[in-house]
Amino acid sequence: MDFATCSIGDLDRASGAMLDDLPFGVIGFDAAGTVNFYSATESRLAGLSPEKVVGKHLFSVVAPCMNNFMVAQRYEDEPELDATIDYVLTLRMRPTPVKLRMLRSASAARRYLLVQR
Amino acid sequence: MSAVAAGLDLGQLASESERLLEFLYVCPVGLVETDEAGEVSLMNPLAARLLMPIAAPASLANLFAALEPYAPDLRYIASSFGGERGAICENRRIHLRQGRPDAPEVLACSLIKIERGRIMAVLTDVTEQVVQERRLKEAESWFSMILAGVNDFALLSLDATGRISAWNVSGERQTGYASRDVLGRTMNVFYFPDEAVQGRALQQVDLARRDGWHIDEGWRRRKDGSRYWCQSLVSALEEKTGEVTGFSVVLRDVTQSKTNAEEIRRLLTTDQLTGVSNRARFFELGEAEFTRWKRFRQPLSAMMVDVDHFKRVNDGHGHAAGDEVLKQVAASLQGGLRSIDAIGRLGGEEFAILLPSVDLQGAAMIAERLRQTVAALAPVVDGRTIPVTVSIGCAEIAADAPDLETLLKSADGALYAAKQGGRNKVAVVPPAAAA
Repeated sequence: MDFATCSIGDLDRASGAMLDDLPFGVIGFDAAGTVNFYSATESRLAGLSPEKVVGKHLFSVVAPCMNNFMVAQRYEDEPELDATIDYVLTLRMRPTPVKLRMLRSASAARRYLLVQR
Repeated sequence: MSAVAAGLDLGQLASESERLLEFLYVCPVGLVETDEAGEVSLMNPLAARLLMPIAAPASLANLFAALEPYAPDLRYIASSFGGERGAICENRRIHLRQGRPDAPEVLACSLIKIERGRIMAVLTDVTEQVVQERRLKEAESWFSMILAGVNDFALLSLDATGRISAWNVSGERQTGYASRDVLGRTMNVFYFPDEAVQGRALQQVDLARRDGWHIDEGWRRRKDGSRYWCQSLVSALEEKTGEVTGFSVVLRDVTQSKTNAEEIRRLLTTDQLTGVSNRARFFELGEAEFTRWKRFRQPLSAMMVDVDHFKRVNDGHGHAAGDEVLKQVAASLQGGLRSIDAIGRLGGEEFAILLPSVDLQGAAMIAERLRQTVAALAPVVDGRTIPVTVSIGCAEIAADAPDLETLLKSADGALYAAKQGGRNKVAVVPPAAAA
């Protein structure tokens, strides 16, 4: 599965173990913003374990640095969203340039945020 | 003591460190650790959230570079700090003007030098606070006028069109004018001739008509030509029907008590390096000019000025020499303008100028004169002459301009053309293309 081309369908069909093995981080969350999947890759790079993160609100607790109009607001505003942007995450407090791919579809329950270093 | 010796196993240690990370991830204040040049070593998520919308991702590696477009003097302030440690600046206001309801408009930035090579920066979003302060300040100046004793006041009345209809000894004492000098005239009579551009006084009256009252302050002129700092309150007199039948005006001479306020005002409104208006102040003045233009439809032009090859000056002669060149360029630009023109430093080596009552042709002439003055400047820094030139883009406001930004963008477009044209040039936006 490829960071730039995989679809929400591909991600929904993949097993948790498959998503854990991807070279990029995968975060899944519901319409309320609650995290329901947090891949092993993302966990390793962010320094937070999935048990701590799943069930928490993504943009207020887990990744407050994305709680702005560039990321969080787009999930609110765009029912069909597939956009990739350059961003800087502060993983373990180190500013790290990343590519974010934001995925949301009206026909799927789970929204995805893919993070590539 | 090692972790094991302390009785902590590695699992506990990892969980402690995760807990700490979590704490920093949700910390509601932006924290950044940098060196003296602003290079970032650590940054928490809130800092990134505040900075990301205004900075290119690459420039988050340097705090001063990220904030350069909005606080170009921050690097200078940090580098000119002489102490071993301590506060370099505290809650310095940075006006972002992103123009989005969901994005911060004003940040407060504190820089604290911890030790050599280590600066902690604290960033907070103070947008709401600033709005509240402005309201409070207005109310405060109202009350201070009422409480400060009636002797300072000049009281007068205006008719419904804004002409002086009643005058008494208090006004004569403050301004030196007798009734026959002022009755039937507008309050423009209290302004210096070059500032009485089509109704600064009338604008106050208009705002009072709209809002019920209006407070303003600035230099005013006495009959003998001397100037004094005046706070004025214009309040509308309304009939029960809501019709405005006139205005009562209170003028207060606050020249004496102004010295302190003036100093604070200067710190808040000027660019620390060059002494011209800072970004926040420039846009404040710009908004006022735009409002005036909408009301009176006198021409309004803007210039964007950029120092040519400034990076070469910095790279070749050092930042200190670059700073000196900027100071001299700014002073020479300002020296070529009228007192009613507004000049602000918008970015590193970029200045914006607003010219009220000047059309495009006039702006182009002024720009050409400024260009020549700067080219003849040849600043000498540490015994070396550093040739410097500027490129200038000019634009005049279009009849349907929706806001000030549109005018500045047009001037910016012209500036780009002047740069493309080989620099040390003036370019104008052809009127048809002006947005």
